[in-house]
Amino acid sequence: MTTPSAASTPETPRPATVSGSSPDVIRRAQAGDTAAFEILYRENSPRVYALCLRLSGGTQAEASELMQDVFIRAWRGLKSFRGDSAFSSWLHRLAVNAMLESVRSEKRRTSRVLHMEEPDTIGAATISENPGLQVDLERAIAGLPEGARMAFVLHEIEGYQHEEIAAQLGIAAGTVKAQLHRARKLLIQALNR
Amino acid sequence: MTDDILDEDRIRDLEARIAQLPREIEPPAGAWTAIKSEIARKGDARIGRAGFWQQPAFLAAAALLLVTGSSAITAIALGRRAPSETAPGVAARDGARPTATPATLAEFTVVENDYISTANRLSAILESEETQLTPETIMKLKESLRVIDAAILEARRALAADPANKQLVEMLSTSYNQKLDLLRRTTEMGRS
Repeated sequence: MTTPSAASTPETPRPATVSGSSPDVIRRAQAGDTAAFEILYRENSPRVYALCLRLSGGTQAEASELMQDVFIRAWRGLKSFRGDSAFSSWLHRLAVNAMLESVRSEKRRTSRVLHMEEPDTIGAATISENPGLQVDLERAIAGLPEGARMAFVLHEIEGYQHEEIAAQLGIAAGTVKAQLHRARKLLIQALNR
Repeated sequence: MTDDILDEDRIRDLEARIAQLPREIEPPAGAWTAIKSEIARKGDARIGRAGFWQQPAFLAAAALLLVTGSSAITAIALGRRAPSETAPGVAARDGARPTATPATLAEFTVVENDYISTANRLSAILESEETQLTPETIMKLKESLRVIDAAILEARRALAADPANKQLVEMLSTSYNQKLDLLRRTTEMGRS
């Protein structure tokens, strides 16, 4: 995977193309129509939830809370959405920001997330629950150190470019690449145990 | 596979498995109900506990009890910096900050837009520079702003019931000023 983005992005749907939420529905929601907002929720929540689930490390309760927070933020900030990008892209950004904020304020581990001071192992608790089974990729991803997991999920699964991830996480593109390399290495090790 | 060189076959295998991961996962059934009730609870005001950086400053409309409280919080959070130490570039952009306190809510509403736009501008600057602040500072800033915003809201509600109360208008104005000072000084910290 010498050029990870080239290798993974052709099949990876870009956030900007995922949702076809109609402008009319968005306008109605912006005007305070909760029924319209529910339509937006139904259209976009599976993708946002998948993102939240993976970013948060596979914890359903945390992912659900994070997703709810994203949609509540979206409701409050709907008027600021001008349609410059797809609605789903806007939601994705909210989700990533919410996750980052959660990490910063609740776990207070910003330095660990943004830099490279995490343990170089897959989280044991996450993958040792069924030691007799083949290691599942989702489970292995969930067990990645936080910084590596976020970089990996955003790049390999969500299709963001290194520079986009760097901007969102507030780190250098080189650090993103290093996190991705580490994530791949850890995942390969976990999957080949 | 060494520490630094990854086996190409294994990478391809990993990529193949990644490509098969579902991009969509159905959320828990009750999630929408929770969201809907939260939205309804807040009413159309669209205010609330969401992301601090995303909170519309117009919701943080006015304040009260807070006058002394927020000063202490500000001092704790930001380590007592002189109010005159405004960030380069910020002071000029804050030129709209009102100086004279209006006598009534009606008069205050006119200048309130200046407070709000200034707070929005500073919040945007802070958001863009957030990564330059320590987690502790961000946490304390959030706590302080939460207190200030709550007080602003309280004062706003009190003024709605008593629009001619000059003391409430003064407290509201003071709280707005404290909010702006807090945002300014934190912006400056991010740049220093």
